[in-house]
Amino acid sequence: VRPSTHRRLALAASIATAAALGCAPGVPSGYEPGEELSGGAGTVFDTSRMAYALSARNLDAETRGRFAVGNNFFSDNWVIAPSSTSARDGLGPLFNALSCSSCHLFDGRGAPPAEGEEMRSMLVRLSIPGVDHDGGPLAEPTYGLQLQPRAIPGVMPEASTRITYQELAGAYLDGEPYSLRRPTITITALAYGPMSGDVLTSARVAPSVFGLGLLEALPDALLEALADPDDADGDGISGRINHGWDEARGVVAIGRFGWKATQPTLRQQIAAAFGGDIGITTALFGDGECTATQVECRDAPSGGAPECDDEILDFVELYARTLAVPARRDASDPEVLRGKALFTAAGCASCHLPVVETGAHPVDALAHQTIRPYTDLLLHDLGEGLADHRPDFEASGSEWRTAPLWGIGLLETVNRHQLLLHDGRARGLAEAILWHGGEAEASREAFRAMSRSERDALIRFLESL
Amino acid sequence: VIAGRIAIAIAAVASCAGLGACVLIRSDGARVDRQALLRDVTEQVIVPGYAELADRAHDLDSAQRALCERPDPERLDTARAELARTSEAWAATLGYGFGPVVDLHLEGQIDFWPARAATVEANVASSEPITDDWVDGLGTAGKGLHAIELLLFAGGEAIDGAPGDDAALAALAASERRCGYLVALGAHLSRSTIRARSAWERSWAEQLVTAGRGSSGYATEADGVSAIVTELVGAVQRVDRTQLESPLGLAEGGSPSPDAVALRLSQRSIASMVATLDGVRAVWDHGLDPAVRSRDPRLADRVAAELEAALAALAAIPEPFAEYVVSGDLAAGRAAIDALRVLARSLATEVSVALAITVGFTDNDGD
Repeated sequence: VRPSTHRRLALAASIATAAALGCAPGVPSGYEPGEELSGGAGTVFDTSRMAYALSARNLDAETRGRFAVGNNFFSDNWVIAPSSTSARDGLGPLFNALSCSSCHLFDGRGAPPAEGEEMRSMLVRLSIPGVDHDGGPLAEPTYGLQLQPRAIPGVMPEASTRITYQELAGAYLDGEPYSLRRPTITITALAYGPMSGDVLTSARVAPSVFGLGLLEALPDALLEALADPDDADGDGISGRINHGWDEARGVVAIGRFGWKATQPTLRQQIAAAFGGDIGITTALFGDGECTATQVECRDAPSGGAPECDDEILDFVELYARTLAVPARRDASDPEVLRGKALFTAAGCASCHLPVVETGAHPVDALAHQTIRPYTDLLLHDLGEGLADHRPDFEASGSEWRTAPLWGIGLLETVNRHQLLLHDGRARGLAEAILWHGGEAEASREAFRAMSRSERDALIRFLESL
Repeated sequence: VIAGRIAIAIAAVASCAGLGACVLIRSDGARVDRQALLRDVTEQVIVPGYAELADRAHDLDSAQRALCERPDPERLDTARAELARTSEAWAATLGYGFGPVVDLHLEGQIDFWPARAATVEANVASSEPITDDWVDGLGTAGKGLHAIELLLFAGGEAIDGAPGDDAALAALAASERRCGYLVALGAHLSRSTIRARSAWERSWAEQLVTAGRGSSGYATEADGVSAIVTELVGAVQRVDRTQLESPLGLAEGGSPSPDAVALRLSQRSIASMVATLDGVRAVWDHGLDPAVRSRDPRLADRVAAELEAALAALAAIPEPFAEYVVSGDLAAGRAAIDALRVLARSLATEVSVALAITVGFTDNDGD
């Protein structure tokens, strides 16, 4: 039986340490001692542009050394094969980016391009109706699972993309107007002929990459306990687990990474990004991205088999696992606490679960930590406005994984923008809230009904995360 | 159509119903048609370009024969005008100066620069009978366009004299051997340009057009397109570095050098550079522009504008260029160099990426 919203939060609370939540049923809205430590004992206290880029504080010296090596492979560009460097050659032939960090700048969040510009830290996923052999989306026959607008010399980039926006006027219930921008993405210059007539697309920006090891360390049992796929409690919130395909184990597994929680492990998420985004093969994804019709792509030189060997993948995995979560600021500020109470009262905390506890993990520093990610890692129907109508494993076209909110208040500092949601359409926290629909419609309407002062307080709270 | 359900074959951005994201896929922007590019550049630019060159060289040959039959100021003017037309027709081919002009070593036969006055005078003084074989066997410093320029302008000795009334006419009238040498050089130039034209018409055009489809010269279409773009980049760089930067003294450690100005005597230096850029523009207009435009209209527009800017900047440099280089005010020359570099960079990077080809080494890249 799925617990009700309040019971759900209490469940999370009971799973977390009693000290953290004060043993109260429901969600505390007052200051909780230690709630600054969003990432548990590994939390860092940097508020500079490097706030997302530091290693967890509780790493031992050896792990910290491996983190530095992983940072190197995460940050440096991959080059075209053959090259004098065999460790990082094999770029493309088709690709979106030269390195992990070119999309996850400062380990932060990508952004949609300016109007008229090509996507740089954003991509378009492709598929056609149906599922492939492992239950995932069926690749578009000519262009595969992802549009790659860049290519090495001698290979034609798949297409060009452009983004434009249409302003949609709205107003809070107190009469204050707002405007949301609705994106239109145009795909032009298809180099390999037309796409399938029933192609499905989903445009996505690169998410922040800190704290991922802690999310990986959340026990499956916790996610299963939080899930309420049939909304048995009738609270209008029906969090569902997405099940993806675990390539390493060859089994269906709980998904927790990606905008639709399709990847069960961080290692697989990284390997998929290496393959899809940079064109680098790994032991997990060794076939490359060229489709049957992309002859020049298939004939291009390879950087090895695989191009990113397990040792390098180990380093990058360790790096992504141990990127620290920045601490909250002003957590005890009265205005922040007022916003925190409003956040809870509006029902936001039902999905953006404030506090959970990690379980066992191969990296000791990540195990058994009380963390405050503000996510339940579950899929929720967010309504027509945000829908991409592209199913992804068990996620429907309108379901998205609850995005973690930790560190979101430092986004402007780190990435010099506040473009939020999966395609970066929201120009700030308020717009992101206003785009919520479906299960979150009641929360959105609660926000719309707040006074200006209340809205400011809620935003102030989010900025403290 | 909403979000991921896609409208195919939409020629322009249309409104999508509903609140969600809208994705439009335009099928009008199809793949780059490299076959069409190769065909159009070959048939509309390269082959006509070498035909024009051969025609101009033939007219120069005829004008020089007429001059030597009866040297007079009017016929000297005509020969000089034909030399200018031939030089500019040759300059226009530099944007596609690969293939037979390289393989048959015709480039040096036509355009060895600088021609050496001492060699030319030695050939005038030689007692060898003037035959086609003799001219064919001469060193390149004593034949081609620049040797002809030396003879038609008397090495510049009387460049300030009234047209037709200078030392060149007197020298040609006074020396049957000198005029016979001039006529032989005209005939040699004509033969060389005919060889280039014939080679393109007989086999090279087919080699390029059938690149990747049975061509023995170009294994892939990309190889053919790469040859074209590489030569374009090389032509732009040659104007920049050899014809502008060097005589202007703007290269590191350089100083203004009128002697480094090609076609100095005929005062057609800038016209020749403009002709080279006109040839580049012809290749762009007739092949590259449509191909690039199919992938990136903004890039196509920009490169077209950069071409026009480079042409305008070149045209703004005054003749005589040899006097300009020592004028002290090199702003126009610097502006032209800047414009050419912008163009070369776009061709070598963004255009080559758009066409998915690799730009190779050019003559300007050194060993």
